[in-house]
Amino acid sequence: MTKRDDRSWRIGIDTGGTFTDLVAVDSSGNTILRKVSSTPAKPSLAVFEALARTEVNLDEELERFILGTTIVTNAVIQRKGAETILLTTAGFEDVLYIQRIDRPKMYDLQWVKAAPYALRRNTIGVPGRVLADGSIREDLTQADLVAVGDSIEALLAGNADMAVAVAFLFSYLNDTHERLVGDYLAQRFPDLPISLSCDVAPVWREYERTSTTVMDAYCQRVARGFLQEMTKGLEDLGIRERSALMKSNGGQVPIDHAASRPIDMVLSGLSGGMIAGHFWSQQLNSSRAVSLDMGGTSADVGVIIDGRLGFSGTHEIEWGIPITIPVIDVTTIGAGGSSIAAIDYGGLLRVGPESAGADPGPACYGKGGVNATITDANVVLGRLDPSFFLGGELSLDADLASKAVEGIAQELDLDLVSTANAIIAVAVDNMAGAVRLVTVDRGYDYRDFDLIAFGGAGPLHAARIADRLGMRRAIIPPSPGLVSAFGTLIADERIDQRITLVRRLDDPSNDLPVALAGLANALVKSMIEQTGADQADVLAETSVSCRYVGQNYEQEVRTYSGHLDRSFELAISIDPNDPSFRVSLTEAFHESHRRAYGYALEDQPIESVYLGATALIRGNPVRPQPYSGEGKRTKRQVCVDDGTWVETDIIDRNVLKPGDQFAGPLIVMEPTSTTYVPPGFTMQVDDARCLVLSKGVGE
Amino acid sequence: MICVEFKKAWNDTSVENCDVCGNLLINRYWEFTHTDGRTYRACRQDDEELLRWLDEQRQRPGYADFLSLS
Amino acid sequence: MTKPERHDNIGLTLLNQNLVNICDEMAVSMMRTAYSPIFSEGLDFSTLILDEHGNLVATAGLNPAMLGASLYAATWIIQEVGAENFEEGDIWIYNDPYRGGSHMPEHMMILPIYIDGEIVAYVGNIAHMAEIGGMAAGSFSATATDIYQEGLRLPPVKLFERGEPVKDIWRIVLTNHRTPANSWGDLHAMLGSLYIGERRLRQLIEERGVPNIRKSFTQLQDFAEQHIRDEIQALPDGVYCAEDRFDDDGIGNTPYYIRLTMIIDGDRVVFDFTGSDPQAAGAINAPYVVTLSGSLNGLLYFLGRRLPVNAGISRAVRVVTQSGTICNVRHPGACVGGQTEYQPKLIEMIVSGILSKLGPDRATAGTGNTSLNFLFGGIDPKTHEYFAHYHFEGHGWGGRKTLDGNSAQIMLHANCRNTPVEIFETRYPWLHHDYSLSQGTAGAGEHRGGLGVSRDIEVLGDVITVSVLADRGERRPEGILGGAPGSLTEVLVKRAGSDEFQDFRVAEGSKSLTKFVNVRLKKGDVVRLVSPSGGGYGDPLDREPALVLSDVIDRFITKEQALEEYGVVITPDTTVDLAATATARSKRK
Repeated sequence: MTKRDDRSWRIGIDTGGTFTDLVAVDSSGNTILRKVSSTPAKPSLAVFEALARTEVNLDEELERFILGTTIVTNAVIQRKGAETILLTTAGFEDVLYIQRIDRPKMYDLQWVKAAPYALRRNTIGVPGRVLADGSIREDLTQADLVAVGDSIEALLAGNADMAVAVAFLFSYLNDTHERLVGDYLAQRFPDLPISLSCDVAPVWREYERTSTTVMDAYCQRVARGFLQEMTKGLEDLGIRERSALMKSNGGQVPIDHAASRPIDMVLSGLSGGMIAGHFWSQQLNSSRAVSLDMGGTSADVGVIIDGRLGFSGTHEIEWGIPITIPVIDVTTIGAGGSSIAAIDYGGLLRVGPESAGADPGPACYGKGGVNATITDANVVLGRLDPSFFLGGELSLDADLASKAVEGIAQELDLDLVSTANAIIAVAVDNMAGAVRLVTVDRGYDYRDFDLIAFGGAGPLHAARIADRLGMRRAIIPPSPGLVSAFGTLIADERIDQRITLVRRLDDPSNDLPVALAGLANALVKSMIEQTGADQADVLAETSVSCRYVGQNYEQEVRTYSGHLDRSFELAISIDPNDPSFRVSLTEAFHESHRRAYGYALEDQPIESVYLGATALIRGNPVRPQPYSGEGKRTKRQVCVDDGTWVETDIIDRNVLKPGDQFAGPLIVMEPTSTTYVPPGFTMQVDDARCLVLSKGVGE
Repeated sequence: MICVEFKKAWNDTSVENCDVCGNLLINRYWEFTHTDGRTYRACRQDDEELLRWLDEQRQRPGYADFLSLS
Repeated sequence: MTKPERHDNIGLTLLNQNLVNICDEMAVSMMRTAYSPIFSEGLDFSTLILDEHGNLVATAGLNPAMLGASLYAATWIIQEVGAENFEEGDIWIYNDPYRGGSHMPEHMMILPIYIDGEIVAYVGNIAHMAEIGGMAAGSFSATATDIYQEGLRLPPVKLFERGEPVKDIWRIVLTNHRTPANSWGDLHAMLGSLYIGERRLRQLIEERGVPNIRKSFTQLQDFAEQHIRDEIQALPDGVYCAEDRFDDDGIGNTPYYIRLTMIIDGDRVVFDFTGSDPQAAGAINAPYVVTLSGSLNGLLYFLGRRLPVNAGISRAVRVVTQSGTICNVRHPGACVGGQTEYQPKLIEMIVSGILSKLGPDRATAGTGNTSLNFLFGGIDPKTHEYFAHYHFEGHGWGGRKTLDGNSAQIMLHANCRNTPVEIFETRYPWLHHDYSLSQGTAGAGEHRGGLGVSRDIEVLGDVITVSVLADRGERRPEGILGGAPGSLTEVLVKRAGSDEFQDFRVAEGSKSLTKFVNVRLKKGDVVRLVSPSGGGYGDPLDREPALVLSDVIDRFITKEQALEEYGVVITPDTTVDLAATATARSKRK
């Protein structure tokens, strides 16, 4: 029997649309990188293929395996989940059709409202009514339950593989009726997946809560199927108990517990990148940073403020289809290597959001794509080496790239090189715009932030984006193309919950501290049950989102953070016996409003809207050492930003050592990405082997 | 056509409108006599031309041909 | 004007993006801090960057209804006040519909940006405040007969002078609004957004230099002008007419007609409203700027593409109205409903009435097209505080060439969200019995109209005073190209203890079915609001039987309707009887 101490390898896998990436790191930093083709029809195949290609003896040497997967994401986006039955309060059956009555674009008469994930034919109105104060006005009777069961039975006769979502009005205040229905159905239909809104998303706004609950039900069968495959394969390898999945909240969950709430996996595939961005910001002592994960089709932007990764209570699957659960705060924009450049009416150049995807991909892939993309522009400018794309796995055709960009050049009446530069400039500005909004939206000035750029295409543009906004530094972590996979293996174990509790802070009898403490305790308890960890290892965090009475949006104020059984570490005590709670929370809210919007209304009353709590067990940070020290330096002609061609050093990242310093222009090559250091920038290699790009001459 | 500058007293908060298009008259107007014999005060210099052009248009078949909804 | 050189375009593109980004920042800040739900949930506001003359250069969060005011109002105010009378640190506010406001709830603020003692630009915003006084709570007085009943009217006045609040103005405003704490919060949200805009724009001007910025502002406007002119040039020249009507004006019993002749003349469009009815006694009149707004919005829908929105586009258009008509209200005419009821009618006259002749592939059938403004106020039985709320409904869009109309959508000229039932009931003492699609009411067509919504709400407090300003109570949204008309607006009441819903004419003796103010409802009374469904596009007998079947299964229509309206025979086991359908249809063709 191997002792747990010998189990020193951690493995993270990130499944993308084209490739499945694996990063394995042991406790001394030894690093193994693997990339295998994804198997979209049966994603678990690529996962086991990647695992088989490491030299790690899984049974004896694996400490933990964590998987970020897009299985639920894809089921949702491609609408391949289960046909879903929706139970609503009677009279409100059309909630998914009515939505919020607005639209994404102003002048489009041909726009089509997003189709609901549960159809009207599968929607059943259920008696029973809870009021806005949580009291019950109309009861839900046994006869009502039987009638609902009969209706469901009739629907199941047409399709046995359905799932049920239950979302009644005000169930976030009083869940009695939802639980009655849930218990009754579980008994009558033991195999039927059921999602209750009071479990999935106990927050107000019936459309958003119903949409979230339906999405959860919709994915239950897909998630179950995938988890069964995974569990079986992992069991065969003897590592089931050491395996976990990434969740949308950036935490990991043991695979045996993953099936309970599939909606929690909807951002599983991209939270690894956000976690890693946060990790590298800490390695560089950067307390404010924006992470930019730019891949083939899109760029995911995350934000780190005061050393903490941003979280959000809502995410949109597509325009008009929200889910309201605690998720990593990520903004996705249509800017990736395959984003297409086009001429808008009248001659304005536009780049993205249309993408050539992986197939046909950019013109230079030679798979039949004819549109000019960001990657093509980079090939034209000599910044990408056509013979060393993805470490040589894919060779690029420079002529096809030129031909595609030439098409745009003719329409713009510009030469080829100026056009390629213009494409990059517009793409950079798009991404700069996204960075600007994620910081400003949260009340911060982007000039105080570092930019942490990764993904295959991020390092090519990082310096320009940071420069455009006057950000402090651009930071390129090791193995940029595999950063997401790396993120999964350092993720915390994490459970979040967010509830609606509207209370005025000037009411001395409000029950906020009691509710907060109760929520935090419950989560810590679940974490202990789920992991078997000691209470001492579990951290709790709480927050209260408040607003002035009359406002409609909230500002989150962090309250207690620390170990529940030890002294707290931050800010505001939530001890019900501590009278300072209301005063401290009030002051903290005014301050946060003032910082975000420039003013506070100190004579106005404040109310709470959401309470948030998190239980977590910190992951163990490790520093990967992916670089061998061997590689070559060459030179080639590269077009820099003012359009001139410069004989530029091309350096293999393998040879870079901590402390090295170079002046741009410079290209750094490695199998998963290419970093471009423009003239006027200095690049330093820091202790963690990150590349740190800053404007001006270094020390 | 003459351009007339005017300034309202501070305690006069009323507004005047253009006789051709209905827009506001602010600080000045152009005054001209149209072929119908009326004197117009217009917000823009080219309104005299616009009015003449509209007279022609209004002779076209289909102009102001309304359904007379019930 | 000269066409800008193409190679300038990249620089202009980037500048335009920067300016729109600044407007976005202003919009986010305003949305997140405002008090009035119409403003924060409803997103009924716009943020603006204007050149030194007040011409619009960039905008975001634009509510299309505010397009006219965004394009013109600041220029008029700057001319009237005189730029020489502005000083650094001033902020001007106004809402006067006779000089650029769309209707009085919408307030505009502008802040001049001085560099070295000269105004280089302005930042501005427009926002709908939920309560500004007047004869009815919620400041939407359907039976107002002059502007003084509609709330507090502000000509351009200084809210801040050289950085200091002008407290006398603040005190007048807060005294005249029913819910001053809300107004205090909303005004601060607007101010906060201006300051953010000012900071960012200054930064941009410093980066680019004043001469450069001035030149770029001009180029951006020229660019947009060229753009829209190119688009108009591509349309066939001609004269096109459209007409619509109000059921009544809330005061008398006669309808009011809007009549438009649209002339496409080379690269410009002239909208001539000559022949429209004289100014109404009630509040359905439009200020000139609303007619400008509706005309331009209709044109932008018509062109169907995303054009850069700045002052350049307005140069390709002339709008001709007579002062003292329903299209151009004159003092002291009331006009709060012009923005919410007249403007959408005007847009629909263009995108349905005219476009169905000019470009039927892009046209839509008649849309539900009333805001169904429902206002109420009272004392909250729990907090004993005064509340007032401005509520509106979505409705059904008209059918389109290849698509059914969308159901439950805000009107074409706005882009507001609804108030969730859970927020509605948390804030106000009402109980919803239902909030649902209005089943069976869509205008039949090869592509049918979208469905309106129906809402039954019961008074939980002791007394709530309600007012309604709506239309389409008597004339249904039209079907086009053989499609059937949609359905009517209904505003009904069921008094506590009664089983019967009645309209307000019968129940309360109101003149109009859809326009009345200050009806006192008591505990247990139930109000029913039903918004119209859209008209159908094309002959219903050409509708794909499978789509008819699907509508039957989803209970959007009954089997009987499938046969009567579409000639589709549905069998008892819910499939299409193709043979019987063919027979039924051929008989009716």
